[in-house]
Amino acid sequence: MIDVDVSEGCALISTADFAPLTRHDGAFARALAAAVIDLSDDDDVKVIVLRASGPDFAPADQGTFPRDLRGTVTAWGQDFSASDAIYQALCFSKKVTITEVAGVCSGAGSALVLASDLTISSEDAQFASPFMCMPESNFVLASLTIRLNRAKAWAVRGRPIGAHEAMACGLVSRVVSRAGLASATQAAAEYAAAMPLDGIVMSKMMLQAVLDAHGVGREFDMANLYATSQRAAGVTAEEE
Amino acid sequence: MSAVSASFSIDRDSHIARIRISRPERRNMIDIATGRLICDFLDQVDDDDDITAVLLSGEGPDLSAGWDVADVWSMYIDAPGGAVKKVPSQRARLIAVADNWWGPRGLYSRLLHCRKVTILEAQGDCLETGLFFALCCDLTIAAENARFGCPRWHTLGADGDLSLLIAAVGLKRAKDLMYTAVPWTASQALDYGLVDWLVPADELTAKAVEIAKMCASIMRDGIVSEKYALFASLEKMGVGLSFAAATIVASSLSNIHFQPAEFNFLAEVKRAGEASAVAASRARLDQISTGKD
Repeated sequence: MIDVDVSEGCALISTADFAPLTRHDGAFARALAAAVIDLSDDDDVKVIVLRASGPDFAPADQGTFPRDLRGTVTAWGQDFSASDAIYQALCFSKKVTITEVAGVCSGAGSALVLASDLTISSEDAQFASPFMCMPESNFVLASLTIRLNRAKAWAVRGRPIGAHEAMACGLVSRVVSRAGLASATQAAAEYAAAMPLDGIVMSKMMLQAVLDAHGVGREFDMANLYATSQRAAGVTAEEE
Repeated sequence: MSAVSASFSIDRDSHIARIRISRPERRNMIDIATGRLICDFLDQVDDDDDITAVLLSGEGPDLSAGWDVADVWSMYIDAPGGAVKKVPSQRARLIAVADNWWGPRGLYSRLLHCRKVTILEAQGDCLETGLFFALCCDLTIAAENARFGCPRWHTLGADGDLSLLIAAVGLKRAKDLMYTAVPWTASQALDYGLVDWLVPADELTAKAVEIAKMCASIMRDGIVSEKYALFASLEKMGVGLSFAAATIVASSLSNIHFQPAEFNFLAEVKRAGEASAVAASRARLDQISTGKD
């Protein structure tokens, strides 16, 4: 389901795609979070890359939340919004994190992009809003990344953002051809891995302090509240 | 320090104060003495009700290529507790970084909290200190040849404020600067929001003076009111916390432990000098870019 390969300070996490996160597949989320946490704690790793081996980073998915959610919101939160769940594990990793995005990047894909340090994108990538059906999406990260008004428009309208527009508004770090995507990601990873490990870790610790001051952690804490609200809205909609 | 590391003047007719860094032979790198002179002048300017705007610029082709690593060691040695042992203590490093750069009396805090409108003329290399001048000033006018970045971060780690950088250009762009060490062109800086005006190099000073005069025409109560509202917002944004974190990280990274295979920038500075160390670091990154061993 999830493959991990480590070479010369760069760790590659690859999977077919990240759509299971959009479907709120708990087992997938736990496995992905565990991989990120293990690599974050590995002194031989400086950079963590997330790559989809399929044609799309996160193919469009209906997103089963909240209508089909079974079980408690608390259990859901442990898999998707807790401090050791995937998004916080990625956002607060002590290593440089890179998302390599090709094709469709819906829901969870965009949430991963927001949580990662660098994003290398193919020209045909489309970044859908993660806010439509994913309470764990972090609006503070979005407003820090693409600025408040763009983040509001993305959240409210849900219009996918093309790769070049994403580059212009600061959502992605590089846009390259699909053929050149893997090599561009490799170059970015090697560049970052040339930094001293102590420097990377201390930089990330300082970044975490700044993100906390902006309320990024608190926004993740609010996810359970948003989930409860969305589930109630879903139940109401079903009854109507 | 040379006798004229910076010049200071006040134009009473236009109500504009001028700071001009004058170390072109060192690409206007800021040493400790120059930083203190600037802080002292800003103290004087803040207490002068007749001044409404401050223009900051550099002599020669570059605004500033960073802090002057040539006197970093003496900065630590001269701090309280710095000369007790052969190697400066951690407390001395913390005090030195705070007092000279990020603390309430440091250069960046002093510039950020100036009660007058602060305007920067950016040209050529605006690296590290030059970048933070742009972040701490209210307005930045850049020449088309300006470039902004912090290449040293790639050799040691990011050890400067991140909150102003993130607020100015956005989170992902700030991280790009942290981890890829590629400076931004003036055009990129304008697109990202770091720069307010972009002009040809030969029009830079004229444009800066024009903007300064416009700002100087604003009523003084309005300027000071706006500046205090800005200070309140900076606190809410956590800039004080970020400056404190930068103090800790910068002092810690001055004592960094390099892994066996890593490029030891500090040892290279000690062994072959700063210019050679920077060149070796650059060559190493170029090898990665071109895929050559």
